[in-house]
Amino acid sequence: MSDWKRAVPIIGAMSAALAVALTRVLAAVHLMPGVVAAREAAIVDSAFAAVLRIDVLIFAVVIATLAYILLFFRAGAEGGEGKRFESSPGRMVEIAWMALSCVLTLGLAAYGSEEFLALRGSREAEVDVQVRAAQWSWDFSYPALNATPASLILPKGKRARISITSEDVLHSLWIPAFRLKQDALPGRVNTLYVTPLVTGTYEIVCAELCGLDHTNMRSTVEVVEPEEFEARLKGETW
Amino acid sequence: MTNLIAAVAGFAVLTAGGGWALSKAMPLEAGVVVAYLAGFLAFLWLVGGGPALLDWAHGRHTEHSVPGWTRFARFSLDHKVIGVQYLFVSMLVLAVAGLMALVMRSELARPGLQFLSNDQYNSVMTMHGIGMVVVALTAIVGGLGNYAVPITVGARDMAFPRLNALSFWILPPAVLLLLAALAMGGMDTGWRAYPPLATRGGVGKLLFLLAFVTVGFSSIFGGVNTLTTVWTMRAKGMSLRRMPIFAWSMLSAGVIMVMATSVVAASLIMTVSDRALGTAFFDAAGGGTALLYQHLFWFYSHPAVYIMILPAFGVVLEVLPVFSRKPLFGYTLAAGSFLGIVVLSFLVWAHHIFTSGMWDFLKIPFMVLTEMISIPTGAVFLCALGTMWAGRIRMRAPMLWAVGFIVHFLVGGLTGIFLADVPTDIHLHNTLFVTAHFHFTIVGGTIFAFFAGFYYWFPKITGRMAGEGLARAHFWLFSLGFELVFLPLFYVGAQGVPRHTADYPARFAGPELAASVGAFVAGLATLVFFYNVWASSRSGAPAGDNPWEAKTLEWTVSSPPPAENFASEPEVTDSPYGYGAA
Ligand SMILES: [Cu+2]
Repeated sequence: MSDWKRAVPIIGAMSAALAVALTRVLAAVHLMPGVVAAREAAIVDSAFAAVLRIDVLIFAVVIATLAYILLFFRAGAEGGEGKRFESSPGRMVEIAWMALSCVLTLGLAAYGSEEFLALRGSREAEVDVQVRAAQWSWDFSYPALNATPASLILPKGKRARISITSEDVLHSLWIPAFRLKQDALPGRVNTLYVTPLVTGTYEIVCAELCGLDHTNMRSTVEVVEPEEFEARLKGETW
Repeated sequence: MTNLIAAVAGFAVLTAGGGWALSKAMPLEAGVVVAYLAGFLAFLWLVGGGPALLDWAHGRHTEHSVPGWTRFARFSLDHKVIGVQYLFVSMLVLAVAGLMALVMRSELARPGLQFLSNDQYNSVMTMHGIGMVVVALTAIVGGLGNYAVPITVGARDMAFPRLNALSFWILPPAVLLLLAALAMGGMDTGWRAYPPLATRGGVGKLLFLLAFVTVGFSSIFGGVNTLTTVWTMRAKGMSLRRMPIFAWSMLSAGVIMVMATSVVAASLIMTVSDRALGTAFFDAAGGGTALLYQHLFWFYSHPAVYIMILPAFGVVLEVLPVFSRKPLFGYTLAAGSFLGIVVLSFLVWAHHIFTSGMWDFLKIPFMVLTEMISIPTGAVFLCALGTMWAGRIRMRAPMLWAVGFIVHFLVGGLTGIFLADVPTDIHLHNTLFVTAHFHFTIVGGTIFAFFAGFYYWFPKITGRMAGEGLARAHFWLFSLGFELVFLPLFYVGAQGVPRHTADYPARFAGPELAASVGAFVAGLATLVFFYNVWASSRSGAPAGDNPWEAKTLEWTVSSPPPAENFASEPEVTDSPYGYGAA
């Protein structure tokens, strides 16, 4: 297998160059939203970054190998036949590849499970909000505070339980700044837990096709300082 | 030709007229269902199924095929004719659904609404979706599969030629019904047709659901036929280990087609029943649940993506040895991986509904099982690269598309990890990131492999070579256009734009415009393809029996192959991949 002596350093160098270049491009583009407004958003972003690193590595190695093959194993005008492998090194390569992909996959799954449990977090909450979705608007109510503001209002640093249901078809409450999403189904209450960490006003988007005005079914969530929270809700009640 | 005209006319009169007449006597939608069943049966009878059925009942012989181009408009029992019929219809649907993609991308070229209303956008999007699902399910499986599978395994035809003709002729009524649905108020739910949205609104939605069920039956019949053919009709000496890898992939896809399709058919029929008969399977007010539909739908529709992709793996692994001049690397591993994917494909459906409100701790096994699919899929990549390694690669059009498959499907697979992983999926689910991901798998996978296989078998089917320069132009334009559409959408989706929307915040105008330009480049590439097919099948260079110096059985017979494929029964004594020098 004299091919390998030449191939390994070249493929290694090409993989490294490609991985570095891709990492630079992806850092410049920054795929995820710039705002990280909740405890949960930071967890999702770190999971995203981890998967992205593995993806870049696999992509770089496969593409570098393919590029090497296309550079060095092209038939000239004379054509000719390729060189058959002897079966035993071939079988070793198969076993090594399968073992590596099993380890990678199980590692990824274990990491994902851990991050998921962290994301899920505690089921205790200090604030309770009910959300009713209907074609094509969102209604928010705070039963304990007897308030029904026009937008979602949450106190910074306090865990909130958002109970979501729908009056008609499916909808999905998505807050990109929190990286969280929960479907709204008729006849069923789904709950979403979040701990907002940064004050500000963020978009709420409907992420489940719900008919005519799905595109415009938007609202906002406002994260306020905890001491302003109740006053803010009173001002919004109508 | 007259049979086809009569069948379409009979279908239109019975379905439309019957629906109108029955609506006087019973609820509208129940009447439409009955009228459609009548119109559907009339179509099949008039197009030639009736005479074939009578022949069969009386024990008479039905002519498999007649000479001349009109055989393509008949109820032919010849698998080669049916293969071409599938290719023709799937390319027609590709053109129509592709035009709808261009309509959508034109609307999305700038922020704000240009020329479509939200409602029109939703309908065009739904029709694009279901149309392309039909293409992905039929182009390789129905077209290339029907044409090539019997010959590559050394059979004279499919196991059940009448069933084969039936599974093809079921499709035209479904296509007609989809066009009618668009005229009757359209369908705003996307191709997934989630209730309650799918159980509300006009009769256009009912037509859509009926068309979808119809396509499902076509797929079940095709699956039964493929399984039986590959399992029982192989040439003498063709043990399972000597079977071409494409036949392995079709066998694997056949298992899914038979086992999974019935479940989606059931869920669609339940939806039709909720609409037309007043049941409440998916209606919370009547004690049902909308979540049940999502489970049933994805129990089919996740395996369905493997109906699309397994035959694509098969085509690529069939093409690579021929153009690398090497035996297929890891033959057993590849076949085993296909079977592994079949088993896993049934155990991962819930990763589509992580945000639906399903039980939290069930998400973990579904995440683990989903990520495990990357093990057999990764093995297919190993087989591809191992086959090319140390080869003498001939970079002809089929090989170019096969390499394109490796690159694009790799991106599709790797971006899928974000959607299997629960934390990242909760953010990315139902965004344009998902749209970009599955286009990289279905277009980057199935469609690239389809073109590889199409250029590979084109000389066998037509007896002429496809224009190489045009095939290359097609490849480069299509790859460029395709990437330009979907790479920006990964970004737009992750940033916060959901899928299924007719508009987006103005700050995404740049990447969205790039995507629109890319769509037109891909459209131009497709025109080049259609021109190449038209011109090359009329005046391409004569191909001879075996232009690629390939070793599977279809290349041992003339191009196009004679009636019943083989003059004498072929006998196989070795692996189909005896390329290369020791
Ligand atoms: Cu909505």
